[in-house]
Amino acid sequence: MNMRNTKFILFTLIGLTLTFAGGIAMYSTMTELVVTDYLIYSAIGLIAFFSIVVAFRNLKAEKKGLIVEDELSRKIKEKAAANSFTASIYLWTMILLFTIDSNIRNETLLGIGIVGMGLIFIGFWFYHNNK
Amino acid sequence: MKTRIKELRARDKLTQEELAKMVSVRRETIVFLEKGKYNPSLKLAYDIAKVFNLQIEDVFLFDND
Repeated sequence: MNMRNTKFILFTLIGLTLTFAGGIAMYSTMTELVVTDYLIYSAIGLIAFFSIVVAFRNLKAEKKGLIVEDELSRKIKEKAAANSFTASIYLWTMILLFTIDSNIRNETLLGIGIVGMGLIFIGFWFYHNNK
Repeated sequence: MKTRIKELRARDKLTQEELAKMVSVRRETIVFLEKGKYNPSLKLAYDIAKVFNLQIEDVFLFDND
C-alpha cells in the first residue's frame, strides 16, 4: 500500500464517519432513540475511531519511509480474523437464543450482531498485537 | 527462539527503525523479534543476518524446546 492509498482510505473513513454522524443527528430529530440505538451507535463510533487511528498511524509510518504491512502484521490480522470468526459463531448463537421470543426488531438484532463482530475482531487484533 | 538482534544493533549503532527500513518490515516486527515473541520467515531471517554480515544461526539461536 502506498501513501496515496492510505491518504485516500483515511479521508474516506473520516468522510463516512462524519456522514454517519450527521445521519444519526438527523434521525434523532425525527424519532426518539432508545438505549440499544445508543449502544449500537457508540460501538460504530468506536470502530470508526479505531480505523481512523490505525490509518493515521500508517500514514505517519509511511511518511518516515517505513512500510505499514509486513509478514507479522498480516499474521496478526489472520489470527484475529480466525479467532473472531469462531467467536462470532457463538455471538450469533447467543443472539438467536436470547432474542427468539423478544420484541426487538430484526434490524436492531442484525446491527448488534454486525457491530459485535467488528468489536470482537478489534479485541482479538489488540490481544495478538500486544501479546 | 532467542535472537542477538539487540546486541548486534548496538554493535552496529543501528536503531530499530533503521533496521526495520533496511529489511522492509515495521518497527514493531523488530520489537517482537528482539523479545523472542515472533519466529520470522526464512527470508526475513536471511535479510536480517545479511545486514549484520552473519549467518542466520549466528543471529537466531534455536533451542530444541
